[in-house]
Amino acid sequence: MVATYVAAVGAVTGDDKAAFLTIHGHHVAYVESLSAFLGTEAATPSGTPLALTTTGGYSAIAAQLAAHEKATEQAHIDGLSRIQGLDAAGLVASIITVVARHRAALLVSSGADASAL
Amino acid sequence: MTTQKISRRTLISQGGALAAAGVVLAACGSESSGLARVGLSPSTTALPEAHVSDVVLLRTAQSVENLAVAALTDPVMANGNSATKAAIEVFVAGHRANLAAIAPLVAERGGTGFDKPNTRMMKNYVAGAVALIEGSDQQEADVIAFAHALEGVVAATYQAFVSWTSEPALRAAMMSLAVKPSYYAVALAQMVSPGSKGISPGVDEAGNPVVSALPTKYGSLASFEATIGKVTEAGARTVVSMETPSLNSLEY
Repeated sequence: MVATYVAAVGAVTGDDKAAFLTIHGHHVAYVESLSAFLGTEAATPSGTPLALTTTGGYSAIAAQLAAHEKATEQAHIDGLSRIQGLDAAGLVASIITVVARHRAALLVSSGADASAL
Repeated sequence: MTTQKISRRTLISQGGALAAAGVVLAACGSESSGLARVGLSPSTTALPEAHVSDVVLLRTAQSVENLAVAALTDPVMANGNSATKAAIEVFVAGHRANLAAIAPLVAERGGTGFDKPNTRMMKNYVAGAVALIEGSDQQEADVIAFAHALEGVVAATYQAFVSWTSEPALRAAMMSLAVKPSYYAVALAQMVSPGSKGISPGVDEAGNPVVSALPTKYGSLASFEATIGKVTEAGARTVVSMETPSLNSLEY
């Protein structure tokens, strides 16, 4: 997601860029938090962006990113069911609520209404 | 060295003295083993033992979802504009869907469902907020502000419960229920600060923090605040600060 947002940030300007940068910053923080938690067992994060067409302006890009956030949200929920430790579970839970907010923010800010959530 | 003979006479006289002393001690004694007390000594009732089990957490989650439904369907919440009303209908349906998802989780664990709003949160937060909105001269904005804080606290409740829940699979189930309230909080924030400008936290021209879709600190379980109600003579408005359920607001 970090690499994907780097691609997205380069395709927009102004408030749209600030929004993508904020979410990018969150994903950087998730990587750092999870890496710190895992220590030497942490995998090297992929530097390859997910599928993203950076044309069509903010709404078109935000809709694609929202789909990636939804997939990330579900991956964390699925992972949570296999985590035994409470500290790790708490960390992943804190990520899920914000990833959910990312998705909704991207959708609503690009014109979707509440019924689309 | 002296020896003491125990004669029948000695036994009767000393035995009688012992018995008399026993009667006196018994009369002076009380059932209480505490310190000497003057006046009435009211009896106390020990608190029942309560365990924070997964069922208790699920019942509390039900109470918080019921709280959201009760608060959002309060007549005062119909004072928003048509877009707000339509959104609130979606949110109420979402909370009812969450309630439908929790019910089997409670039953599977041998628990009894909780079909009322959370007792303490209703009394401490919702009742006061509703009264403030009723007396407010900015009801339309207050409906959004209160609903925004409410959805935030519902989502945070599930997040807070993860570290109390013993079953990993149940933690995941709880977090899947946290998703909708998180979405709804964002939709409400976007009603105040729309578009990409309203995503990042920031401050207005006066330096006051603006409502934003994303929090300043991610994953925080700090209180969720709504500034609502009539402006006082001092120019201030009431801040309703809502927190996730604690040990005294769980539904045991």
